[in-house]
Amino acid sequence: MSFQRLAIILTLSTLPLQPLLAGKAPPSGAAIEEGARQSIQAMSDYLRASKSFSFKAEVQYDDILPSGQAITFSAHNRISLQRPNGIFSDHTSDTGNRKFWYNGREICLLDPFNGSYAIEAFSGNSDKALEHMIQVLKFTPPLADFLYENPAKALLGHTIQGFVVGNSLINGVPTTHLAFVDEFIDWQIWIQDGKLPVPVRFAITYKTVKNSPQYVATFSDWDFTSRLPETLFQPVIPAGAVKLPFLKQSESFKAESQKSLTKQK
Amino acid sequence: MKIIAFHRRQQLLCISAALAVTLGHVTSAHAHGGFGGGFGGGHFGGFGDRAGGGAFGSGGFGGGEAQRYGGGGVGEGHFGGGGLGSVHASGEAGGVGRDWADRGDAGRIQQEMPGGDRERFQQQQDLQNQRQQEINHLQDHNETYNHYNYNYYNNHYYGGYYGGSYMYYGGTWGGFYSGMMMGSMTGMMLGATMASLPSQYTTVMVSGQPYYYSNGAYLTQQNGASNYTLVPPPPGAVVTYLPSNCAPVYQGPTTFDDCGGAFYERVPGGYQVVTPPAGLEINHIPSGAVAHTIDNTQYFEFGGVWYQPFYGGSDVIYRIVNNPAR
Repeated sequence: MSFQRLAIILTLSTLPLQPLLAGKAPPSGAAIEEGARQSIQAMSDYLRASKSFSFKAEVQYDDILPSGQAITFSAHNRISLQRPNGIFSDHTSDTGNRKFWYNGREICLLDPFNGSYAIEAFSGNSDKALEHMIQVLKFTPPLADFLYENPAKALLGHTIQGFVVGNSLINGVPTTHLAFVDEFIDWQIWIQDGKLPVPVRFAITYKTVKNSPQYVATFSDWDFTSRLPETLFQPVIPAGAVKLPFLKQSESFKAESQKSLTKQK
Repeated sequence: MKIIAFHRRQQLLCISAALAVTLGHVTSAHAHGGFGGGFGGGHFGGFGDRAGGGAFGSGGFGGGEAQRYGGGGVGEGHFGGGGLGSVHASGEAGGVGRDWADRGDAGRIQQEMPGGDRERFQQQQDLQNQRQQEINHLQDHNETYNHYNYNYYNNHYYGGYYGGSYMYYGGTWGGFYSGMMMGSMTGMMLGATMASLPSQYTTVMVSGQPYYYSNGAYLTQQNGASNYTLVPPPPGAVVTYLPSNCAPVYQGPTTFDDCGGAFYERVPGGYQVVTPPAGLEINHIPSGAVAHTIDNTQYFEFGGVWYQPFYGGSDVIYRIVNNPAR
């Protein structure tokens, strides 16, 4: 290991502590190395220039048992985006399957294994739909950062520090390895070198969680040329599936809850 | 090989569910189940999130399925709940890191257990696995039990006690005590009678009526009979300890314990049997809950408590609601 790489790793290992030691986080974006920012921006610009694309991702994610032991689960994602308002995600994993559609009119989430689904009427572009999911419906299609109109903004919005780790070969593909520090997570990304600056690998470390579990996605099958059929973004609900509402706090339910509590007393 | 691997995973699921339920009782630390904080989702040991509920291969959506993991919150939100797999969402105020940070207590508690406690923990785990087998057996015979309970309780004591307004009251209490360990009473069903009380019990008075409490179960003498009948937890009863299958559930500042569909509120000196308030959210409904569709909306009912399934994030959770049939 070269001295330079060792120095980088040592620096990386202490980065999460620095904001804590300082008592507060530095201003957003204050310490993102220019090279790292440029690499993210290049990837973002490339994705942004495409009206539609699809990709696959093999994911490993940790689950921490009460003993502290980490269990690594696997997931497979097929994700398609059609701007301005089409998203499809097919998620299969060791712990459950989901299909997700957004088509400019409705957000639909299906659990094909248990035969239940939820639909939320919503209009707007994909960015607005994703924000609605995060803020109101309280879920996020995995790897949604890359589905935003401006992925760089989505990725760097909470980033405190970042830098270029170096070059890395992943599955024979030359990439540039970047590392970033957010308040709650550390994350890394490996971006393909050359004329196709797509993400090849993406890792999130949940450093505020005991034993710092990780989520690691390895991308493949990037497709920017195939025409995506409109039907891909239309929910396909199996016969017999039960429709459930998304849980949203409502004033009427607060009142009902209060009434119930009062009745007991 | 695939079959073997599947069974191994199943074993892991059962063990984890047991751990989840047990720890849910051991710690009251994390994951307030309400809207917002309870949406931590994701993996990474969300034990105790909301409530383990019945926890014995619960009914409803996703209960006891092969692909789910754990019974007390692990495996929730795997489809990006709380921002899993997203830097942007993880950075939000309600994101993964913040919510999950609260949950580390479960693992720490186990690690810090002294030797004796660890052994007891293992025993509880073994008991939990045994309970799973019992509930499977009982579910296989559920029709018989439901028939018995329906006739008995709707036509006699409890049908009247609750005003007879719960159509399936007797039936859906069928599995209530099935997961509890009461020595020789293991697996006994409501309405069952016995000639003598268990070796360890506490007398609890409710509205002038004595009940005999033992490890989560209540016995009483009905209509002057000399024998003792197993009855549902009487609302208002205060006990000093709970059975081991309980998980904390939170609503605002109030902490409840969900013991397989029986709810207790923490009061000075112990735990009081209560009717759970509408709005309480749990991850699993009790085994034996009966599905109803009312005005095109799905509900489940167990022991007079109505549960409505929702997508809370990317996973199905259950909110206690007022009786929609009224």
